[in-house]
Amino acid sequence: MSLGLPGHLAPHSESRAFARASHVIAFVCLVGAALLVTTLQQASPGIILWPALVALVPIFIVLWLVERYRSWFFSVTYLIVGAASLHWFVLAGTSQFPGEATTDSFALTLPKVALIFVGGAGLGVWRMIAWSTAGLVAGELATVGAALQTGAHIVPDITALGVYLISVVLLTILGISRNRLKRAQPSLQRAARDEHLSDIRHRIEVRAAAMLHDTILNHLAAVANAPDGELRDDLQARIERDLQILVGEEWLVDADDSETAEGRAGWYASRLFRSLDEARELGLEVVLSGDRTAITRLDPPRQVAVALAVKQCLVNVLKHSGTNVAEVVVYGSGDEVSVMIIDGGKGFSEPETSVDRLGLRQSVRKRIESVDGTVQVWSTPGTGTSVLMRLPARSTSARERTQ
Amino acid sequence: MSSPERSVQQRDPLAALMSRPTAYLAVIAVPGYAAFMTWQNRDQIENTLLAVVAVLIVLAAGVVLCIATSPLRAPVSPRTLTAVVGLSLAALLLSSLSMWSTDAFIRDDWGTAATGMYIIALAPYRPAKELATAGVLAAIFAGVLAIVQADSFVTPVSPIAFVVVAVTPLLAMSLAAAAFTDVLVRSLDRWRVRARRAFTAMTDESGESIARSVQQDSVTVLNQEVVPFFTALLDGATVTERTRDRAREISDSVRAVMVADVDRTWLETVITQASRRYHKGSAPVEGAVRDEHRLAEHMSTDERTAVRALVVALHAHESFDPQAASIEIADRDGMCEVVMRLRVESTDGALRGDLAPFIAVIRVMFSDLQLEHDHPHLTLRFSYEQR
Repeated sequence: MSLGLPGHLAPHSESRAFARASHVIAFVCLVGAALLVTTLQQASPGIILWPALVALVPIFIVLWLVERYRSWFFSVTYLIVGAASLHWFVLAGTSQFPGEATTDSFALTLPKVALIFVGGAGLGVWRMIAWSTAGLVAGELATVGAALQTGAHIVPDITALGVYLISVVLLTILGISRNRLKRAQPSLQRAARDEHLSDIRHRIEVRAAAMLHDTILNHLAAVANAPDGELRDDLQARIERDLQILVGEEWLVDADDSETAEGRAGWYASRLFRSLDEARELGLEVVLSGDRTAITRLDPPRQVAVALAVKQCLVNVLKHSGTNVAEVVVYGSGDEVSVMIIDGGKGFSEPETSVDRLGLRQSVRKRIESVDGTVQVWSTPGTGTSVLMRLPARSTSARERTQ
Repeated sequence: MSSPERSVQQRDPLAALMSRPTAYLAVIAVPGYAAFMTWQNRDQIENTLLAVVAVLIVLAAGVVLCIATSPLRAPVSPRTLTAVVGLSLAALLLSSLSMWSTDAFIRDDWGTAATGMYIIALAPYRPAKELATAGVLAAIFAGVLAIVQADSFVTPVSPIAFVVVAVTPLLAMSLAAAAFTDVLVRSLDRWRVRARRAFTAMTDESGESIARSVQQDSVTVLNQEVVPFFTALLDGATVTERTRDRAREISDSVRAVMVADVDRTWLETVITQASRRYHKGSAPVEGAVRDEHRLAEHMSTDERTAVRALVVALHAHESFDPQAASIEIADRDGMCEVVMRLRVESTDGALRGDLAPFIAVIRVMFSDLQLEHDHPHLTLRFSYEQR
């Protein structure tokens, strides 16, 4: 989700950003003006410039206030107090240079620019342009008023006007460009939401498909290979149990099995133990090695996923490999748990698997990937098959909490 | 686009795109201003060649900025900022050298203001810290230059005053650019946290209802054939050759449905949904997506969102012909290459108006987008990495 702010928030953030930028410009200009006055005073101790320095204090204060509380009241206060400060500043400055001072000198331009960048209250670029215009007019009126009192030369301030015009052009362009593009924002937000929902749905569908594959398709295959007459009791029982679950229960809503409910703990309570048991019932000889308790380091949904995936691998060994021995190795390292299923059967090459790609893809690969794990398969005709599943373990603290 | 860089462009491509006209403004206004001020100061210029080269270099900086901020080249690299600021400072130096002993007023010199304006134009593309650092370093350079050149200025004040005059516009603009970026990136980050929280809540809330709906779909499929078949068997029906055949038949049909579902990518789902929503009368187009290796699955969430938004916008557009649209995804040297061939009957207006923002987002997400428009045919080509 990096597709920007939604339509209702964007104007607020943009106005806040423009206001902050305006206040930074105003602050730097005022500091510049103060430094200029200070250096001038130091260079010519005979003239009295410190009142001009004092004149800047009120505008610094109202600048802080309008930055802190960007309201109509403080924006207007900034303009009024700022204009009064500027008036005083021009009076104090130009009165010291009778006959020489002009109203466009750089030291006077700086506070005028500070007034242009009010960064006033309200949303939208047009309002910002209105505040800047008010700032320009207030600044010029204050300067001209003071110049009339001290007899300074009144010269149009091209720099201040230029700064104003550039900021207006910039804001206008941004305003127009914004209107053109902002229509797309709600659709983008909706697309992001739909994408998220579709991802949730996809994960659930993967679980559903894997479940159907494990149950219904396996049972249909068993029936297709059954001898004439009534079905075997154990197959009947399994079909009945699975149908009841699939049609009657909410098997997708809660994937978490409460493992300890039967009073067992650790490995014997794990779904993987049950999967190996079921595979043995089907007639497969399963050799278990490694650190089997490592499986409990997985959180419940991953334990279920890995157990069902291992079961599918073992069913595949029975169905396709031509051997009835398989080895399951469990080991945990660092923050990962790995399970490997190895058989010494006839193996397969990729093209052949397309016939039954559903089992490996849906019930093993997709199922493990949907819980953030990875699956690697090594197989060549004649040398057997190894399937490695790696899943992230939960942290120790999380484990302790659940225990 | 999950880069940790704290720039507006990385956090909100559309906002950066909105600021794009400022780059055009900068490349016209800044060299224009430099040329105008050079003309104004012509009496003080000793070396015309240096003055002209200075204006040309500042123009070159503008061109670099304009090219680098093109959405086709997103994201803008730190090298661009270095190049633009470096060129501007070189122009400042040459401009100062062109009137080294005859420059009367430092406030008429355009170099620092030009650098500041370029930094403002780069605000949407680089992090606040970089913009501020570039401004401060440039200000130090300009300040030192002002002190060295102080003897030529006619105003009888201390060199510090010249430094203040030289660096104030530059610092004001670059720090403002940094402040602007900082506020925007912070609010974008706050929004991301909120959005993530809302998405997590949505997963919890919707997860259950989606699970029920998926389960309902599965049960519907099962109820058609599977349940009656198994129920008959459980009720004591015996297995015969017919039963075995029927089991294989049902297995094949369930498998076929599942394979079709598994083979379907999100892109096909999006197109089917959009077409169902906006073109109720016409049948969904088969084979509109050619993606043999299911490469659509390799797109990141943001890339998918951008493509999804464009597909939906296209279908919502009245002059779009879904029957004549095709999307092809193929592997080209490890990259997934997408070619979207579309037919949009209306004139250029649609491209500039309703569809433009979505194409713009695609452009930001897939930086190599190529667009061919041969009315009414519109072809989009872009690629992405396999994840």
